[in-house]
Amino acid sequence: MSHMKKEEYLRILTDQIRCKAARTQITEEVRDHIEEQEAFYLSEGLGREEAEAEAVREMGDPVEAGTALDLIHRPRMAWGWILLIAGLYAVGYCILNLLQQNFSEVQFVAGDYMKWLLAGMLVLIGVCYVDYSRIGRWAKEITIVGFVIIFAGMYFFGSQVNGSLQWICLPFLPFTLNVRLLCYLFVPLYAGIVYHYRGRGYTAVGKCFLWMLPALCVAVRIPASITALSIFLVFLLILSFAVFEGWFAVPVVKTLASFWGGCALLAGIGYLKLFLAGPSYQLTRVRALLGNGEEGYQVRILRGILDSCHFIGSGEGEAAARAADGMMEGMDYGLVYIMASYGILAAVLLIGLLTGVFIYFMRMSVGQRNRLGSIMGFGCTAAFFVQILFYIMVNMGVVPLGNMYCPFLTYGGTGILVTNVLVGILLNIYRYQDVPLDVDKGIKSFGRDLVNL
Amino acid sequence: MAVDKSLVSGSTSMLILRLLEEKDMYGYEMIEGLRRKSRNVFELKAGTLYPLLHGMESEGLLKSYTLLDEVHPPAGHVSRHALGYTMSDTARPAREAGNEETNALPETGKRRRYYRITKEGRKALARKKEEWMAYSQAVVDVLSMGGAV
Repeated sequence: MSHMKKEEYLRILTDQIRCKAARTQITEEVRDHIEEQEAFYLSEGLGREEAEAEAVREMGDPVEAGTALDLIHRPRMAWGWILLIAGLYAVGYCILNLLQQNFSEVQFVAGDYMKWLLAGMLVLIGVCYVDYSRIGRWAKEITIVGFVIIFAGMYFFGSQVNGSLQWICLPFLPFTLNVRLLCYLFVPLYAGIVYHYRGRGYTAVGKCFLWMLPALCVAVRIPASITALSIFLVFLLILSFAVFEGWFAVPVVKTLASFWGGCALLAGIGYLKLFLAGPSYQLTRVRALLGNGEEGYQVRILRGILDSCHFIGSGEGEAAARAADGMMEGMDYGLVYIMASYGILAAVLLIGLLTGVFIYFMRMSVGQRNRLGSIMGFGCTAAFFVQILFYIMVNMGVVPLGNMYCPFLTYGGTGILVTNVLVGILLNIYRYQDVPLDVDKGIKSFGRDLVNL
Repeated sequence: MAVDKSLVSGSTSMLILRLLEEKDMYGYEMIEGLRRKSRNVFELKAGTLYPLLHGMESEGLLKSYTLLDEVHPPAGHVSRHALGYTMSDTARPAREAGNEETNALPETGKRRRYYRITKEGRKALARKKEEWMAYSQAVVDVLSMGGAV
């Protein structure tokens, strides 16, 4: 009588599992079990072939087990979320057009929106259906390639406006990309890199700081100090999350205190140096940023409009916004225009809706069983929260940063593409939450490089 | 003793949760533990166990992690080395299981996927236990009744 071999059993079992991404881990676990059983039979005196056959027989029917596993490890359909995201863009588009009608003298650039929106939705669906563990597995390589491409793009096709190398005009294509926003693409990659350094102590933490450099170098090269600051903040949040979760096997409180305390200390030293020996125009700018300097012209207009806004409906704020005569062009100050036209409540509800969606994504990410998904999701949502926070601060006149992007609300082609890549990764994490993904390169080998926390 | 398997099939998840309440275990260890503790009454097939474990993990009752164990460790002295956490929450159990030993990794080792009961799992176990006690008590009451109904 011929007996089923171990590999044949595993092949039949995994054939039943439709989600290929789930197969590797399941195969490993079941193979380990069979080998354990086989070792037992060998120790009982059975021959090698007999022990293997008996161990496989003990496993039961591979078709039955495989079918049951297939039902559990199926990617979830994320169509509901895709529709919600499309809905958010539709809301943003409607607001853009309504404001366009209310403030015809202000340029909101609503015309091009549909082209980018369609391209953005294709990107979203594309990213959503490529399993994110591949991005995580090759995070370092993609970071380096991305860094080289963006730097080369800036060098060869960069368009300098007011001394800022912010735009890349793609050759042969009618697209111009905003490099400041492209920097956010490094966020999920950085999360992937942090994941791969887990369990390796302080040296790994130091390496994680070094891996912040590609994105920060791009931001500094533009130069875009606020982008560099926000990206650094997101990176630091990601690293803090990993330390807090105990991934580096280092004392949590001490390490986190040194991260954030060190940053505060550096900022203080920088300010002191500027105060004592810096050029006066830089000091004035920093003071204005910190809110204790002379109020800028734009901030004065902004606060004038905000003071005249009603809680519900338009009020004197709308007239004040008209009087501003397009000083705050575009949706960089969209929230102010919304408050002026529809009242403070409308703006609060809109930001509340966005925050609610991202809080859901944050909770879904942090609660992930897959640690790579958890940190990548945390990174993407942290990027959104930082963007929204800076956007609100600019709109409230708290800090005169200018040009802050708000996902779904601000018009911007690159913004849509970058937002959709990050949202696509979040949907991807949602989609594969029941699938045991292979997240380490070379998982099949026992090597020191696999010894992780 | 042979018993009707349908009597236990619905309660296997409860028995697994009970086993894991004691300590984290891997699949093979669970089958052995269940067989030993039930005095050979429950002989669970691995093909039944893994879908059950993965389903319970999907429901949030369990969490899994991978460790590298020394081959044939002396009883009670299993040295576990954190390997990789690819499917589940993994950091804390690994710390508890002796992560400090990762620098002294043995040349050879057996990779095992351990399962740990979660807070939701403990709650589900308490609920299932209560239901089972009520059910078994009802069966005992009916079987032991005397005289006319």
